[in-house]
Amino acid sequence: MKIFVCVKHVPDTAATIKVAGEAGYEEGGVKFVSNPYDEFGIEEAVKTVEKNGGEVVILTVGKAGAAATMRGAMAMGAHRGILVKTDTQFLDPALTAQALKAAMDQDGLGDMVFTGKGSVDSESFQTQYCLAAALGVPVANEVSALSLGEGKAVAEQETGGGDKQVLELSLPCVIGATKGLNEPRYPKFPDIMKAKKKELREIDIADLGIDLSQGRICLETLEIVPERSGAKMLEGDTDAQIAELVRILREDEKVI
Amino acid sequence: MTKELPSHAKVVIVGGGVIGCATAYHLTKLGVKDVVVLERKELTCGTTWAAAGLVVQLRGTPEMVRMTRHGYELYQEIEKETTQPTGFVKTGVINFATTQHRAHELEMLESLAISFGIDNHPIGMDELKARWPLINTQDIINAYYMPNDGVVNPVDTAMSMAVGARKNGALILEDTEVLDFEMKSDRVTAVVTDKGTIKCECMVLAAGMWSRELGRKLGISVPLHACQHMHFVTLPMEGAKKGMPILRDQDGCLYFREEVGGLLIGAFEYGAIPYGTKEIPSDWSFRELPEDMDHLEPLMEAAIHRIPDLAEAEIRRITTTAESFTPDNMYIMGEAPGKKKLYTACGMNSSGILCGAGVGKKTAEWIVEGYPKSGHIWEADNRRCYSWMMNINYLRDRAPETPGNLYGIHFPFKQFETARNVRMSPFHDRLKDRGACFGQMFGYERANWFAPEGVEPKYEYSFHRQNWFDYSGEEHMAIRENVGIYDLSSMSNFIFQGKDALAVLQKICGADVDAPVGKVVYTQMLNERGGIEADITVTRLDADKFFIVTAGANALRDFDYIERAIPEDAHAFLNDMSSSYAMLGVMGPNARKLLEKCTDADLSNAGFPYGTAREIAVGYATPLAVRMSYAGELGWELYVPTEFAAGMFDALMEAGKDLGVRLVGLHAVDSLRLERGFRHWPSDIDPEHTPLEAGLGFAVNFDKDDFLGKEALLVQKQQGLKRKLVIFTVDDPEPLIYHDEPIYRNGELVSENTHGAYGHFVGGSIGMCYLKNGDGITNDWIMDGKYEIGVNGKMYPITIHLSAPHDPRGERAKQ
Amino acid sequence: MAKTGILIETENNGVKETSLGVMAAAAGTEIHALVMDGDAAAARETLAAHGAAVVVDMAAGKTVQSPDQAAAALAAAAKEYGLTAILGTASAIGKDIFARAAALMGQPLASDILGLDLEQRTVKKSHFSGKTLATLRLDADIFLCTVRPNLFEPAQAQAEGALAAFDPGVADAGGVKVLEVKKGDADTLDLTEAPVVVTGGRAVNAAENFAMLDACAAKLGAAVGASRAAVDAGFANHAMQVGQTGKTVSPRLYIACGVSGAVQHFAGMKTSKVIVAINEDKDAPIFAKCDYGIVGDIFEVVPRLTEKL
Repeated sequence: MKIFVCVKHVPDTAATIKVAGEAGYEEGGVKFVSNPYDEFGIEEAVKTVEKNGGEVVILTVGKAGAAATMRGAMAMGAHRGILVKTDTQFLDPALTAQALKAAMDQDGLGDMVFTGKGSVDSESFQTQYCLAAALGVPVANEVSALSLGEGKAVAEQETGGGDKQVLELSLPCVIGATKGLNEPRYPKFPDIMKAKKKELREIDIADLGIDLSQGRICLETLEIVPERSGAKMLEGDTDAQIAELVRILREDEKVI
Repeated sequence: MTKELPSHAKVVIVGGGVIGCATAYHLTKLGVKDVVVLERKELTCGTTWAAAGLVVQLRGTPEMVRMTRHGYELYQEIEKETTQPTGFVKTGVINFATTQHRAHELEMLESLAISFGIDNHPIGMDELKARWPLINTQDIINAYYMPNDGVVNPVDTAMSMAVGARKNGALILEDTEVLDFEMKSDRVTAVVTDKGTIKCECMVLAAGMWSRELGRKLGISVPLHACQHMHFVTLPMEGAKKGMPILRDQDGCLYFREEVGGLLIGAFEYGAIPYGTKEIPSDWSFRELPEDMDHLEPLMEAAIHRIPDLAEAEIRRITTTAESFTPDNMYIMGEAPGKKKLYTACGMNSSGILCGAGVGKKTAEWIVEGYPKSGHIWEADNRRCYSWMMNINYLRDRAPETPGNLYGIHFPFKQFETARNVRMSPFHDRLKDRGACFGQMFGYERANWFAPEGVEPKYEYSFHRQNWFDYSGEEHMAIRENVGIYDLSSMSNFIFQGKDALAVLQKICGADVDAPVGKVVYTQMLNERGGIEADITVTRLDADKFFIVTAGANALRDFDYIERAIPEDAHAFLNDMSSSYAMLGVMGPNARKLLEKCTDADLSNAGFPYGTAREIAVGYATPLAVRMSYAGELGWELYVPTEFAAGMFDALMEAGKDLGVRLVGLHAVDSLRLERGFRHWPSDIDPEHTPLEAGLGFAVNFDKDDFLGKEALLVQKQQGLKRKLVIFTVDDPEPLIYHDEPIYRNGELVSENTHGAYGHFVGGSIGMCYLKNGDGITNDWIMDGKYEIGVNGKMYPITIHLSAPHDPRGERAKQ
Repeated sequence: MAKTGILIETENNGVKETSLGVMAAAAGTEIHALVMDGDAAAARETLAAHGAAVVVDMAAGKTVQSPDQAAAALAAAAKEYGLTAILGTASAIGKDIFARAAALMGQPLASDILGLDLEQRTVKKSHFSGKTLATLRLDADIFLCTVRPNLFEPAQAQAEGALAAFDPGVADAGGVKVLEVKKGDADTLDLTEAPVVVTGGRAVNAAENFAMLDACAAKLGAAVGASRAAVDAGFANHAMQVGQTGKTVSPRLYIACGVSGAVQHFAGMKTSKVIVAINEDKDAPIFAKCDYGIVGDIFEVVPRLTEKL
């Protein structure tokens, strides 16, 4: 089997984001990682190939720095990588999908494609759907369990509140992985060292014929959400405090 | 719950890491309650959070050990007071060697540990395996175990001190970024933050890697540079057990300890990656940096080599962050020179946790008592931080070398390899052409020894006689027996003048410096306790003009000491002339003969008596010739304005040709002075020892009017001494000694070597030590004992000398 | 006037509150309430009262077989009614259908939005796990959005609510078939994805005392977490640890019980929407960084809170 895993190069969720200009942020010194949900996809792909044979190709549309992140994915067992280079972190997902498809066309289509359920930077939750549409194959997202049969895949999709629906997809298909699908492995020292030597091909996004001016989702501004500064201390005796807290949570904050 | 920034505080501490918290804690312990700590983001979010939390007591010098020990003790007790535990676990530490040099170093450390009262004993491979089942012992030569050390949780440790400080009255403000300072002459009057301005009487800069640039704003020198610093954490693995000792594989640049059932692997590697040369981001909070796999690869390989099971371990986390390192790997502490009530406590070189409490304690003492009462700490004193060290190119180029040095082999005479040729004397190229091998002291390139023709002037380090030993011996003998020239342009000199200059000097010097014009006075500058703050010569050039010479390393400190002693309205002006003068010493029985060839001056004992100075012609130059000798031979020190220096050198070398004059390096100068029993500040004499104890009573004039320390010295004189500095020679010519080797009297540990070297004339190692006796120390008591020194675990008999082993009456310099 | 389609979600034959909220977000446009499953006629009155000009009954006796069919139906409705925007709830199902529809239509989508300006065609949404707020412009004649649940209050706005039947005529189920729907076991809430988290700190004082937090969590549909101090002390296992060296959580409500608020702890939970702290020490650092604080003994406060919920 040939499996593509689309991995996004994103700032670590623990990183401090500092906005720069209208709609940018400072990347200097920020630690980048594989989009955490993509790691479930990597693990699933590697496991599948370990069982059935074949190869796992990491496919990334991202900045030049994404190569380091892709090495991390390869340390988890992927065989090689293709980096489609662009200068934007926030590309219209439709264009990202076009670029992914073009790269797959060039490399030879796969039997399956994994992505994460969404990226933790732009949180747009749709690239996998655009990709599936472009490839003309079915897609399932938020997949927390997967089994492969002859020409088909059976996927469990999280539908909230612990509910799930079981979907059957014909192969090839696109699977958006989420937590629960597996426990992504941590790399071992020898894997990390081996990953450095694996093939990583870089392609410029323009060479795939993608016209970035065609994007229709435009990031206009990016603002920092201010941090809290000091609690509202509830007053009165314990019962009064609790009553007030429950009222606030129900009526003001609407979180319960 | 947001706390308001108060309008005023007695002490403002900038930085809420372990050091800021420790300083606040100890200040409140000393009764200073009006303390405000300002933290940019959150406590510990700079570098404290990423520390490994090792608490290892064995450090290079006695005072460093004392500082570490304070933390070691406090971290075990503080929970009782604050209810916040530090997470201290006594795991012990194991060091081992895989190279012969390291094995030798570990043997030396065993002796050092004895001097410092630390249990550090050798263990066999069986015990090593038993304590660390995962280890590959194949290439291990020897191993040592320090059972009493341990680990803490760094964040909890800082928090515990913060809780204690708060309980005792300190105010800690987070999310308060310091932007600027308001200064009035030499004081900080207010700290400007993003939450407003707070006035203060006293300020402590404890801002870790941000301190350098804040220091620039304060107009002080805080030379530090951040480097990336990384560690790995594995998932739980078989064989990693709670309570396992910290394992230090220094030859592999790694340490290992247990972490949540797995291993934490940290690195102190050579060629570290400098970080934040331009600036450290002000929004940094628990930040991790992108890792550089090429850089990590050799470390991973070394880790697998040592712990083979790591090849199969899953790596849960690779953390790359940053920490500040200083050019000489030592902290930056104390009251900033040239400023009042402004203190620094930063540049922790990755040992902020283990020394944090100690640094906080000393800083608090500095503020409250005016000096670090529990013990001076010159090695970490900010008066060694020259303004030129803030040069960013210097800092950036040196930074990669310092982390690796922490685990490097600490060979004697080991020189820095980066950021060389910072300061060079006017003779530098001439010396280089003649085979000089240079060493760097405070940025100054100094010729330490000369390689004969055909020999590469390069150190070959070892713990035995190094490659230069014999060459330096020949240089030594040249001065004892013929004539030699050495370049000591690195010495510092000040011109101190004005109507009140004499009064100022009289107040701080033990000797009477009210000498005739042209007279050179050897004296110590003293503190109120009679301790020795500096060791200098004062030459009276005119009624109101003095030429003061001190060691190059101490220039800033001594300058600051004099400057602080000048009353505000006094007519006394101090200028540092060090860059204006070069200096050559022409020393040896034939020094007069040599000089006479290039001067018309009368150099006879009558015409130019010992201990006098005047300008004479040497070639076309007219240096100030000072007839003194640190080598203990006939000779002159020639202080020459720099543009005349090269010409003078050529004239002297030409004149010395027939005499077979020899260029002499500073290793020889050190061994020469030891044979002659001359003290060196700070290794042999320091603020905690008085001239009486140091055998320098001859340099104190009690007939003089009131001077600093007179009272204390008189009391000491009356009560009798309890300790005394003596010189010793090792009877066996073989062992070499350096510093802090343990000294035994009648089999009992009584002291440690202050500084030692090989005396080529006396034919053995020479050192000094303070002998102590609670019942009073007399010459009879001293000579009554049988003495030994411990070198690499072996005991060697030594002979104590009440006066210098060579030329005890000092006649040779006066011949 | 702009025409907005709203995908209505129903339960027990009633319109979900969240869908009414989405309608409020489209106030000022001609709202087409698209009812794909459930009884459109029964819902008509409620929908009209909340501003639906047209109530489109798309079920027309048939139930949608697959998510791709639902997406195709949405696309067909958009065409039929000349919609300029389609909005829905950012539930798991809603996000899925809208993403399929947007891909099918080749039109831009903004998922899980926090604000909307239909005229300017801009939306506000989270970037970087809630650390930043982004404004996106959706540059197309028609675009799709899913709106974070409960963000907009349902608002009364009487409109005609004309009932229209529309058969999207979707025959092909697409490559995805729904085999089965499984109802979840609410007890196995994952800490990192739980909507509410109740965390215990050192003050919980014993492993068995976590039962008190479990009881509170059960009432809230919450997962239970622990601070590093509680884990180190052996009161809770490492899988429950929230913070720098444990899990990062971002629930809409976070209740910290007897947690002092070490900085590493904040690193793991500060993106929570609302943080409540209960602690005996009024100087505990947690109070500087939370939204609501109660100073008191957790053994007194927590059981009474559980009672009240």
